[in-house]
Amino acid sequence: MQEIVVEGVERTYRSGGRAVHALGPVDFAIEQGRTTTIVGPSGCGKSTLLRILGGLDRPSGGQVRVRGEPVGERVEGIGVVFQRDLLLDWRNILDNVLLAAEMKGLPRGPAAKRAHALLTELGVGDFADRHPWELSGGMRQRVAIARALLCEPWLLLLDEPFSALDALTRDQMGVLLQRVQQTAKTTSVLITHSIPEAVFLSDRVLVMSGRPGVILDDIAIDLPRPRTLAMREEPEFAAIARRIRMQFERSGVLTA
Amino acid sequence: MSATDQTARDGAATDQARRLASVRTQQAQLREQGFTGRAWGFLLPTASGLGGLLLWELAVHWFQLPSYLLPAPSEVALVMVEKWQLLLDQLVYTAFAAIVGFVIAVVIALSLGAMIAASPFVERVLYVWLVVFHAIPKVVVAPLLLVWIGFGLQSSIIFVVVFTFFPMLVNTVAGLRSADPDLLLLARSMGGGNWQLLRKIRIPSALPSIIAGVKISITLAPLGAVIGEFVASNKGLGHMLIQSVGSLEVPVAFAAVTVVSLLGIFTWYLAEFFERATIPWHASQRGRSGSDS
Ligand SMILES: Nc1ncnc2c1ncn2[C@@H]1O[C@H](COP(=O)(O)OP(=O)(O)OP(=O)(O)O)[C@@H](O)[C@H]1O
Ligand SMILES: [Mg+2]
Repeated sequence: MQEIVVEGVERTYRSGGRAVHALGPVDFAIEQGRTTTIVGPSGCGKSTLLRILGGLDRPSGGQVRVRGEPVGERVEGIGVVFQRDLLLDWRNILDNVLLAAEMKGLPRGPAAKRAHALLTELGVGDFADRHPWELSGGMRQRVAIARALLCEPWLLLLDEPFSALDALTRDQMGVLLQRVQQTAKTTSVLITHSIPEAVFLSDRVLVMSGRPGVILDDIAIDLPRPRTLAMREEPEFAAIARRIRMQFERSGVLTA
Repeated sequence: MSATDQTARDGAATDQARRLASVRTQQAQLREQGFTGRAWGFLLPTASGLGGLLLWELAVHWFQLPSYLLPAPSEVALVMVEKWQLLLDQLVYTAFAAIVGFVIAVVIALSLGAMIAASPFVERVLYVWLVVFHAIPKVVVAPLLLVWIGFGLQSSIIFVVVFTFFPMLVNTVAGLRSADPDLLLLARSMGGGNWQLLRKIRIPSALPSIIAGVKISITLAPLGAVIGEFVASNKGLGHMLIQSVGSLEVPVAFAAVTVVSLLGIFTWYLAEFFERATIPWHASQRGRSGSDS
């Protein structure tokens, strides 16, 4: 089922009399329960597109429809993870995760139970009563993921969630995210600058051009799941990674 | 388990154990240094203060300075003991004006600050007035209070308000505007409305800044009360100070000054305590309270 349909979406930012055409027009549709990854050069409008998908920003042209309905002021039932973990220093880890439930006015009891379960699943269960500054970067990002998953979102938006982490932690988080997604079966849209990460995590990769970003290539990834880190060395994996890299080279983003 | 046990059990671990042990002694040394450091940090200022008082005392006796020029510390202390009832009365009066004025200022600053932060319209209307108001040298116009408001407590209170509300207002506005835009976006993605954003994100984000403003203002409050009393009161430490200087009772003036200073020191520590109680999570407070190890 085509859950999200993006039709001719554009975004122009205006400030101080100057206009920046940041994005589009882009057209694509996203299938339910699939992970779609967007890759593209810096400043091409990926974050802008993600915000528009979540109803957090309005397109200047075109529209996004969710299950047939045009998106208005906000989209209900989404989870968002940004590059920065954005944990609140004045709350402990558990209460940080529970923020998602509080914002929706849900009762604390069941939410806390689920929060504990999620934190444990993500490997930070022992830190529920600590404060954010007592955790490492990787641990903090795990908490941010738990917070995004707390209210069982149907759509997960991930804007470079692992960019601030070291290579090893990044790989760990990729495996973790894959596991979480397999149990939760949420539709996900991921932005990343890492080609291997894109191939590893997604069912489909959209390659975008430089600003204003348009879609250059739409690559289906049929590698079997669950995927292992070792699969990155296999020829099928390498072939897809190469196709993305070539696309960047052709558009002049990468030069050999 | 001590480092020696480890050595006995496993020969290969000897090296590591030795390193561990040396780390431990280093830590112990550091701790000792920390202690002497702390003792030093306490002893030195105390010794310096006492030494200064002693020099002052000796100088007064040596040069035989008359007490209407510079009273000896012992004389001031004597006056403070003799007139403690009077000083206490004045202190209560001044402190009362400072507290009431400060509380009023807090209410004004917070509500005005919230309005300015929320509405560009309010800001544009009020901005010019606030700038003008802040630019007026308040000490110079203090005598006008006597004309407008008359003699007595209310003049002191109003002067405290005028003196203290500006730093809190500026910091409230800055604080309420400082919330991380990404954080607000995140909260909105969770379905939070404006009210929830204010309560759960904006206000906590603003607290460190607001409290910084409160800390500046609270130390100005006794000062405001005293200056108010200079011009428009027949009671309070400020009035006592002016009176005693006028009649060349300089030791009494020194006693009043000492009490005002003590009040200032007290309010400073009160503000610190308040800060620790309200924003223990803030980077400036971490590790200061015993609760989070
Ligand atoms: N709030 C804004 N106001 C004005 N211009 C903006 C704003 N947000 C983004 N832009 C502009 O829009 C363009 C796209 O920004 P966007 O953040 O979507 O890029 P991105 O693809 O996510 O880049 P990166 O990979 O570096 O995160 C940029 O050129 C940026 O200057
Ligand atoms: Mg971005």
